[in-house]
Formats: sequence, structure tokens, C-alpha cells
Amino acid sequence: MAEDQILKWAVARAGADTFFLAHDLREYQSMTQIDDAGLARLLHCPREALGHLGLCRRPDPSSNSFRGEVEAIASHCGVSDAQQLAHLIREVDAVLGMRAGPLPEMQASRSSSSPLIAARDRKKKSSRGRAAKSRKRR
Amino acid sequence: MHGLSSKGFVNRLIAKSHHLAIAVPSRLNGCILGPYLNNCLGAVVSFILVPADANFERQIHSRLLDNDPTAPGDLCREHLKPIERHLAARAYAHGVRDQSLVYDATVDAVFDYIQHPAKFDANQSTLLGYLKRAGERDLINQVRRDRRLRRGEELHDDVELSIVAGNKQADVEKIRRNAEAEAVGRIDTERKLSAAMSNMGGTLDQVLFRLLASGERNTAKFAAVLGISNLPITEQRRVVKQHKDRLKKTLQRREEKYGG
Repeated sequence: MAEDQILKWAVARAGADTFFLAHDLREYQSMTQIDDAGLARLLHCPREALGHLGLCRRPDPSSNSFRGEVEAIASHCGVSDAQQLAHLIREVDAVLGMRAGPLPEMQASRSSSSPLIAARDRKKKSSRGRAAKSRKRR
Repeated sequence: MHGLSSKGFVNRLIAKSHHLAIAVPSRLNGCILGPYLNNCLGAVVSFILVPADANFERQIHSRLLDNDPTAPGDLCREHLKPIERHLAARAYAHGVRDQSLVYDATVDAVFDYIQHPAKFDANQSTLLGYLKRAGERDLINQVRRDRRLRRGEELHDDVELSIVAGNKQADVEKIRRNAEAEAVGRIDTERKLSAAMSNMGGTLDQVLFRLLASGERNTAKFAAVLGISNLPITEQRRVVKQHKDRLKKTLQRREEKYGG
């Protein structure tokens, strides 16, 4: 077995764990159907850097420190295009967020407190029904 | 001093320690051995004062506690290999030959620490020691799970229960023979599995194959490894089936070629 086999194993395992950046890289690859070489070209980094990148903690796009953390990761792992890395993480986050649950409008319509009620036309009563009612009154 | 008279010993010290910037009399820089002595003295002093690993461990632990996003990668590069070697030796000593169990236990121990660094108390032990012990526990769990899956233990349990229940000696012997046959079969399967895995190209295939061989039937687990959890479930099933069929075909071809 190669010397770095355990590192490759760790990266493969990290790909299934949302804590690690490897998860986002793999999601992006499955979304865009690009291979490792394509991803390395996109991020302007050597292919070997993808393993290092994957074992970093995934920065939270909603956090204030997101930009700083992405820049730190990029400079640490030899990724020249930190902006592209940030874009990738945001894109995956947005897609996963949309997949995770129903759209807000759908949620609103499902909830019982919804003020939206569909309007219906009032049915015209048949003439036979009216005649029966008037007979009863008599 | 012994150490300084032996270049090899000093070189070992240098290799084992981080360089400390220390003041060396400037007149030494003038002589041929100046830079060498500078290195040696720096190494010796740093080795005596602070072992290199302790420095690294203290820094990495504090970086993980501070949520430094690059710390997990640095820890993995530094400690995965020694932990894996340690666990492989332990596994070998106990008759476990399946390298993927060792890999999984190593990664489980390190990932668990990365995600919960506060669990580690630096006053109790070194980080490497802590991770090795955690890895050993994970390895025991992996081996137990593996054995349960192969039903070996259940048969042994049958023997023990029969003895306790006072069953006839002939029945107990019959169950024991079954258990032995099961164990032989398991070793044979293990050997085939290792041979097949050494033929598998990528790490992804090895992880998938390991899941397949362990009798895992949950599509979600395969999908997580393949990174297709985002796809609709029908699509996940289709892709997972494709990969399973491909792996089975690879194994079948290998068996035809080498005769099992």
C-alpha cells in the first residue's frame, strides 16, 4: 500500500461528513460532473492540494468569519483562487439548503395558521330545493 | 559531551526536534563548523527543554479549540500515519489481518477528536497517546461489529449456552464443529477479501467494497460514500446498484483469473 493510503482513506471518509470541506468538494463535483483534475483547474491549485483542502474544517457561509477562514484555508493549502473557493462553498450551501426542506411559501400554505383561504363561488340553490323548503314552511 | 562527539547522535536529535532560535557566540559562525554547531546546539537545547511533539501537540490542540479551519488537516498529516502503524501492529498481534478495519479505527479516533477537542485533557497524557488509545477502542468495536456480522460469535455463544443448559456432549460437539467451520470460512473470506481489495483501483472503490462485503444493505450509506445523497432516492438506488454490479463483476473476473 502507498505511504499516503491512510490519508486518502481519511479524505474519502471526510467526503461523507459535513464537518469537512471534502463533503462540499464532493457535492460540487457531483453537481457539476467534474473530476479532480477539473476541480483543481477551477480552484487554480495542484491536484494534490485537494486532499489537504478536503481535510480542512468547512467554513460556515453564514458566519462573519467566513471570508477570513476561506482565505486562511486557501493560503494554507496552496489554492490561488480563494474567491472561487468561497463561491463553491456558497453554491453548495445554497443547493443543499434548498434540497433540505420545502420552499417557504409551501411551508406557509401547509401550516394551520395560514391566512390564505381559497375563494369559491357560492352554489346556486336548485329551484326544486326552494319549492320543497317553501312547502315545509306552509 | 557524548552527544556532540557523535555526529549521528546529534543528527538524530536534530531530526527529532524543532529548531529553537538560540544565541550562539558570533565567533563560531566564522569557523567551518559554525552553522553545524549552531544547529546542533539549537537542537540539543530544544530537545532538552521542550520535546518537538509536545510543541506540535500543544499548538494543534489550541488551534482546534479555537476553531482554526486548517488545524484538522495538519493533525491528520502529522498523526494519522503513526496511529495507523500502532493499530496495525496491535491488530496483527491479535490475528486481525483486515487493513480496512485498522484504517477505519484510525480515522474514527482522529475525526472524533477533531470534532470534540475538549474531550482531551493535556494534563492526563500526550495527544498521540490519547489518540492511539482511542483508536484501539475503536478497533475493538470495529472487529466486534465485523465478527457479529459474520455470525462467528453467535455460534460460539451457542456452544457456551449449550454447556450452561447442560446439553448432551454430542450436541455441544456438533455446534462446536459448526463454529470451527464458520471460523475457517471466515478466515478464507477474509483472505479473498484482502486479495480482492488489493486489486481495487481507488480508495473509493475499496470503501464501497468494504461496505458491500460487510453485508451492508442501506442505500443511504453507499450514497454518502459516493457523494450522491442529494439525488432523489430512486436515482441513488440506480447509481448504487450500478457501482455494486461493477464491483461484483470485478471480483468475479478476478476469481475467474486467479481461481478464487
